[in-house]
Parts: sequence; C-alpha cells; structure tokens
Amino acid sequence: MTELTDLLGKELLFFDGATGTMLQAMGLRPGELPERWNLTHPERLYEVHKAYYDAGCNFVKSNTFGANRLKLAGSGLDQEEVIKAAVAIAKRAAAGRDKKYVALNIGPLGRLLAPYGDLAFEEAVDIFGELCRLGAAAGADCILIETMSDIYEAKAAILACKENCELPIFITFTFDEDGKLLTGGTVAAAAIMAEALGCAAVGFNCGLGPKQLAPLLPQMLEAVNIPVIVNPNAGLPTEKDGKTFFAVGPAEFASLMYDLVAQGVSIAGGCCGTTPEHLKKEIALCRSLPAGGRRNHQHTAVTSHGQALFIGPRPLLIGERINPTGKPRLQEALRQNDLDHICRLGLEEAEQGAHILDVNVGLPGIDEEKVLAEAVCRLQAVTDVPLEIDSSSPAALEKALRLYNGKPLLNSVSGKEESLKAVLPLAKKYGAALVALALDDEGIPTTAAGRIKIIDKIIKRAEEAGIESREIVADPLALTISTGTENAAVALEVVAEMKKRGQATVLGISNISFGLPAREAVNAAFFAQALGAGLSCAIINPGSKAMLDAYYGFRALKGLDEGFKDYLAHYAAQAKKKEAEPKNFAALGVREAIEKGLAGAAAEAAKEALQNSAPLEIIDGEMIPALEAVGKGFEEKKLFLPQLLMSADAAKAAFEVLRNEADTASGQEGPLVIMATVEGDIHDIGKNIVKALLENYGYRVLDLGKDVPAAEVLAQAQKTGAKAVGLSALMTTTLKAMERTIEALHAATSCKIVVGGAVLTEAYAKELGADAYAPNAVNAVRCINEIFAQEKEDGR
Amino acid sequence: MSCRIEFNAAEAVRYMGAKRGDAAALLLAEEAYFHLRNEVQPRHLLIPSSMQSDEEKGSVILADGTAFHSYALARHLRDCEAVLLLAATLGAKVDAAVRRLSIKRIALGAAAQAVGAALIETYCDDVTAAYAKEKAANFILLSRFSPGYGDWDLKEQSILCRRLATEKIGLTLTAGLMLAPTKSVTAVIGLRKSVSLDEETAMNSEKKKEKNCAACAKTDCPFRI
Repeated sequence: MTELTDLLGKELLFFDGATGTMLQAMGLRPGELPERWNLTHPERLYEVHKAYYDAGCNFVKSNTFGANRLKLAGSGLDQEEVIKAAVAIAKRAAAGRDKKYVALNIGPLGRLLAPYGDLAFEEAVDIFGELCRLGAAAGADCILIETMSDIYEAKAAILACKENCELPIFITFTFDEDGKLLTGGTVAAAAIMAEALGCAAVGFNCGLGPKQLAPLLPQMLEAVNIPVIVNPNAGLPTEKDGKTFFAVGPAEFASLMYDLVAQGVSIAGGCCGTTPEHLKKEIALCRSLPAGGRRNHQHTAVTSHGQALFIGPRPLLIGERINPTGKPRLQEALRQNDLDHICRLGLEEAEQGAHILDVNVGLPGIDEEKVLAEAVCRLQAVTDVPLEIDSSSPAALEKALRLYNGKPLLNSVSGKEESLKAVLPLAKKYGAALVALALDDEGIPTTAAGRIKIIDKIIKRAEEAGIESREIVADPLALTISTGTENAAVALEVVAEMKKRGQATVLGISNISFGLPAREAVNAAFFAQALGAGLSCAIINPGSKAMLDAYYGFRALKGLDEGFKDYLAHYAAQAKKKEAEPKNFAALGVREAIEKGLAGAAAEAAKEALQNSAPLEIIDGEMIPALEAVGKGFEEKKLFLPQLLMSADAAKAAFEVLRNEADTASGQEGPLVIMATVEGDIHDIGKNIVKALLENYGYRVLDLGKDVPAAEVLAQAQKTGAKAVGLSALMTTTLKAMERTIEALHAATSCKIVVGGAVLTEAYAKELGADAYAPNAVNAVRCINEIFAQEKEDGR
Repeated sequence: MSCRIEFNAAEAVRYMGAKRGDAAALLLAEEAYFHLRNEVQPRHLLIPSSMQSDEEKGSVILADGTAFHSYALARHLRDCEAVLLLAATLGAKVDAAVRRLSIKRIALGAAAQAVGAALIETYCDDVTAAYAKEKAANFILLSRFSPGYGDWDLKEQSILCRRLATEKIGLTLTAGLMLAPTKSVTAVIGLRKSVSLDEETAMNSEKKKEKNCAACAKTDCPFRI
C-alpha cells in the first residue's frame, strides 16, 4: 500500500464526487439524516463508494459530514456506531486496492460560533475532537474538513484534529463568487491560516462550479505553498418544481476541471451534483497532468477572520496604544474590566491607519491570562484588523493565540533559552508569525553583529521546531540614544542586513528617544531612517501626526505608494476632518452641549469648565441636570430615543475629558452595577443603551455581555458584591433563563435586580421575581438610582 | 459586496423609535447606513411547496410531510394551496458593524440596529416580489408569517430551518432558537389563487401590516399598527 504522504503533491490525486446527490437518487428524503443510512442502507453506501473508486478516485469521503453530536441530537443514532459503520463501509470498498484512501469527512456544526452565534470556540473544538477521535479509531487514512464558511469554525476543527489524531488534515472552504466566505473572509485569509495551522492541503468545495472557481483559484495558489484541492459542484444549482439540479454534465465538467487542474492543483474531485460518471470523465482527461505540488512563496503573512496581510511589500504600521505601561486611563479600564475602552482604542488606531494592533494588557494585579484572551475576543468581534498578541506570560499567550480568529503575530520570543522553549511550540501549534527579539540570556548585544547572531540562533531553533524562517519577524531593538548615540545606528544596521536577506523586521520606534524631551522629533527622524533601511513593520502611535507624516512621505518618495494613492487619501481625510470640526464651541456650556447631543462641543466645554471647576462640580452641576432634563423630555415624549442617545454620547465625551485630564476623576469610583443579557439571548442593543446611560450617571458598569449563564451572573455578583444587577431578554424563550438568573441571585445574594426587554411587562417581571421592571432605558436608570438611594438610607 | 438593497430611511427612523420626519434621527440613520452598506452580504432561500392547512386541528402539512402546528398559521393560510418558505439574512458582518458602531457611539449603534432591520425587511419584500413576478404571477402573496407569531411555537423554527437548509446561506439557530446572524428572517408566505388580481393585491397590501400585528400577542408593542 503506497503511503498517502508519499503521493501528496507528487502525483495528481482524485477525490470522489457527491455522496448526498447519489443517496438522494437512491431515495434519501429531504431533511433525513444521510448518516442514518450507514446503519440502515450500508450496501447502498458501499455501492456509491465503490463506484467512485472504480471511476479512478483515490479518496472517498466517509458518510460522516454531519456526524457530530449537535446534528445527531434527537435522532436516536449512536455517534460511535454511525462513524464506525461509515469508515468500515468505505474501507471495505477500498480493500485490496492500491492508492485508495478513506477520508474522514467533517462538515460544519450547523451553529454559528460566538460572537456571531452562541457556540463557544472551545465547545466547537470539543465536538470536532470527538468526531475525529472516533473516525481515527475506526481507521480513516486522513481527514477532510469541508464546506467551511467561517474561518473561526475551521480553526476549531483543525485544532481539534491536531489534538486528537496524527492523520494528515485536508480542509476545503466554500466561497461565494466574490471570493468571500459566508462570514466575510477572503480566499487568502482562509488558506494562509489553514497552512499555518499545519494542514497538509487546502482548497475549495461546494458553493460554486468549476467555472466560477476559476478566478478564485489563483488567489489560493498565490497565498500558500501547500498542495491545493478543488472539489466544485457540477455548476450552480438551478431549481425546478422545488427540487435542486446541477446543470453541468460529465463531459463539460471534465473539460472545465482540466483547465483548473492545469493551473497547479494537486487533488481534484467534485461536490454537489457530481457523479461517478463526472469523476470518470474528469480523471480520464486530467490523469496525464502533473500534480501542482508545492509552490515556494517566501512571504510572511498574518490574517484575521476577514483579511490577509502580507508583511514586506510595503512597510506596515502596528498600533501601540493597547498597552497599559504609563497609561493611567487604560490601567483603570483594565482594572475595571472595561473592555469597551480597549475596543475603542483599537478602533481609533485602525481608523488612524494602523494595519495591525498590538494587544498587551500586562498590569500587576490583573489576571493576564483571562484578560488578554477576553481583549482579543472582544477586539476581533468589532474589527478585522489583524492582531499582534503581546505578552511575556506563555500561559496568557497560549490562551489568546488559541482563541484568536486567524493567524496572529506573536510578540515575542527572544534568544533566552527559557523563552525559546516556551514560545516556539506555541507559535508552531497555533500557527503564528513570530517577533524575534535580539536579546538572550547575556542581555542585549551592543553591536549589530551580536544582535544578528541572536536572530540567526532564533531562526535556527524555530526551523528545528518546524517553523519556517519566513514566519520570523526580527526585532533588532531600538535602545534609547540618551544612553548611547550609537544605539540608533546599531538597530539600523541590523534592519539593513535583514532586508538584504529578505527577512521581515519590526521596531518599537519610540523607544529610541526614551529620556529625551520633545521625543516626537527624534522618533519621526529615526522612523524615516529605519524605513529607509528597509524596516517592514513599525510599532508606533498612529495618532501621532509626525509619525504619519514620516510614513506617508517616505512611501511616496520610495515609490511604495502607487499613484500616491494612500498619501492623497490620508491628507484628504485630514483636511476633511479639520473642516468637519464644529467651531464656536466656546458659546456652549457642558449642560447645553449635552442637551443638544453635541459630543465634540461637550468635550470642549468640559475642558473649558475644568479651568475653573472641579470635576465633581461639573458632573453634579452640569452633566447630571442635563441628563435629567433629557431623560424627562424622553419620558414626556417631547424627545425620542435618538436624541436621548446623542445626549448620552455627548455626556460620555465630556466624562472622558474629566477622566483623562483630571486625576481626581479617576480613582473616584461610582457604585457598581452588573449588566447582562440572559443565557440563550444574543441581542444586546437594549442592554448596551442602558449601560451607556448608567455610565453617564457615574456608575461603574460590569458588562458581562450577552448569552450569559445564570451561574456566571451569580459568580460575578458574589465576587464583586454589586448591589444592583440589570438583566435583559428579548424573546419569550429566554424568560426562563431570566427567571433562573433571578432565582440564583436572590437565593445567594442581597442584590436588587432590574429587568427589561421587549417581551417583558410589569406583571411578567413580578412573576419572574424581579425587584423592578424598566420599560425603557431612562426608567432603568431611575430604578437603579432608587436602589442606591434606598441603600444609602438603609445604611444610615 | 456593497448593498444592493434600497434603503428606506423613513422606516429606519420608525424602528429607532423617533417621530416621523425627525431630522436628527434621519441624519443618524443615513450615517449608520453609510457604515453598514459595505458590510451587507444579503443571501436568501425561497422554496415553494404545495400545502394543506387544517384550521380545526391547527396544522399545516407540506407536500414532503413537513408539519407545522399553529392555529394562527392554519387560519392565516386557510385559502391557500401552496406556500413559499423564506429564509433571508444580511450576514454576520452586519452584526459586527453594529457592535463596532455601538462601542464608538451608542446613538449610532442604535441607528445601525434600526437600519439593519429596515434593510432586511426591504430585502425580504424584494426577493419575494421578484419571485412572485417571475413564478407565481397568478397568485396573491400573503404577508410573511414566522415562528413565534401568534400561537406558532418558536420551537418549530428548527423544523423550518432544517427544511430550508439555511446553513447554506450562513443562517443558523442558537441553542435558544434565535436566528444568527441577528439580521435574518425566516417565514412562511401563503400563496392564494387570485380571482380579481388588482382588487385583491390592493386589499392585501393595505392589510398586510395590520395582519402581522393582529396575530401578535404583544399588545403593548410600541410599533404595533
């Protein structure tokens, strides 16, 4: 028996075609679980598999596409029995023949992963793992994860397979004609992550026919080196009398497939609508072609769930602002678990032009492992800018790398033995590009040669750990010139040497001026020099005008900005922004600006007011009366939700000013309120509105998010000793979860519970045991105010 | 993919809970639409099926044996011989955009929520109308009826989704039977043979919203017509 690994990429191999189409023709009803047939119609399946092997196919897919515990739930089928039977039938059809393999077929779970749906990443890994273990034990030769339309789910499936068996993993994704997954990811983003995670081959299946796939195939061939699979449908589906048909016949399919395979495909097959006849014709026509095999791209790439980003063709900006060192406001937010603040910083950086966001939450006294993972999850839920996961704790790195939705940049490994041992296996397992710091157990060498030696050592060790050198982004380290003027030259020399070798580089630019006054001048000049030396990535504050001037100016000068497109766009946006800034704010006070819902004016007025008043005076004398007036207007139906929320945004802007510019405001912690949308409910706009208003009133809100189990709300209430909890539910089906949560809280705490949401009424709320019912956001604030007023009175 | 769905700003303003023609709300809605329009990946499925409804038993049985149980649905479909099963979604990226905008400015987030609701409504109307024009010219299309309306148990959402194979368009159910992505719709649309087409169509469109609301148990809903 020829080993599969000996053939892959060296000889053109063929997958089978559709199993579902064949079973339907044999009488499988719509809505019926195809996996049931493994037990009820084994001979029929055997016939299908045998027909594909007879047609010349090397692989058949076991009939296990939906054999996961979510899809089998309620079917009465035993998962182990179903999978064992499926693999056994396929193996029987392959028996005694060379170059025939059984691929354990794994399809999507049918439930969207959080944050789009409610399925937790680790639960998905667990479900896929179960399927994989059973399939491997039953004797499958390889795994085919197919029809993936979400990069996150694909990552869960690949990790599960890696952790549960040693079989080669193939994965195929389903794209639309625009080359996008259902969740928006591109061909390159999907393929690069699959390659980084160690898949043996990656490709396309379902969704499109060979004709529609033709323009997408080059995108995959360009993105990755691993062999490429193409398993398209027999054209696009058409519908007649409520039934689905695929119009491309065997001869046409074969000829279209020939053109695809000739582009460099290594495994070809079919999906919906293809039959043994399609495959027979395809194989007869294509057999003479060589396998596309591996390509030899040397690019370094990172990805998110939406996009792939290549490091090298043009210098990239990495936003440095999500790092609490020396930033009291961020430290405060981290201590209060205010992850929205981190998201806001990230979104601002992305808007300012950052291509990658560095995420570092290292702060004494916080649980970095938990907070880093949460920050990564929250950021990737709101932006598709790739992240650089930055920590000195291997445990924190591992959790965040695991939950990251794509191929991240890992910051960092150094030449220290301890670091190499801890970090390299993480980068390998989770498929990360890796920042390599030019320092080791002896410290930071003073010469460029010394630093290059360390980088070489890291690259060698990475290669030994199975990580290609192109995945390494070398950081020569910028040491401040205030301790030695040669420091800049040393770093630049290393950058230039790496550039010569085609090795990507990164520098934390602002370190160069540490200890000097007017640091931006030195930073910008050094940045321009480093770019000139060939720097690939710069960690900077993208809010700094001097740095962006250097960046766009350099790219324009160096011919790295075709048609000055980015240069023109950047400066046009700056001009527009300036123009859009409302003028004559001085005329408005804080109160008036908030009442009018003018965020910019409110911030300016708050700055002005701070000249003469203490923050507390401004809050009590201006902000609260403004919010009261707006709230009253809302309740009297004189103004409506949009105005209320615009005022909330204006109050928030004023509040941020007080927090940022006056030390006294931070440290003043308002009473704590816990907010959550109950378990089973994924709607959170109502909860978010109430949260915004409560924050306006100076409350600290611990936002547990949506779909929160009762036990989690209780645990947080007990941990924090919060006196008030706000719960939201949108649908009747989740009222039970609300009731459970209320029961749990009342049984074990003395906190008061305010409930709200579309399906609730006063009577319902009482029935559920809530302490108060809020029909709208303003009323919710009133309820909370009353709870704390009562609390104060009782305390007296 | 950019948005091919016509944006009904007035409807978005209504969903925002603002009064008709509210200038500030309209501006917010326009701004939110500007942010959402490139995030929309509209997809849908429409499957026709012949059907029998039994008002007394409160059951609706499709040609392939799929059964729904609701007196309100059976009554709604009483004069129909066939139905269209509809699933439609704006895609997951819209949810991410609403989250993003809510974090930046809650007013913009709430506006985006409303804009998303208006867009999915228009999209459902458009794809159904296009289908009707092409393939059901002799029928009157009743208003959409979804699991959770009247006495139709939300649990049957899973039957409807399985029958439509909504996974294909990236539309799935959560454990709590909610549609994910959130800007999605599943529904049954009754097809009634037309006698006097113009007259019936006019009557139907006028009563459309009324019918939807009348079937709903939430009598204190601020959007009830």
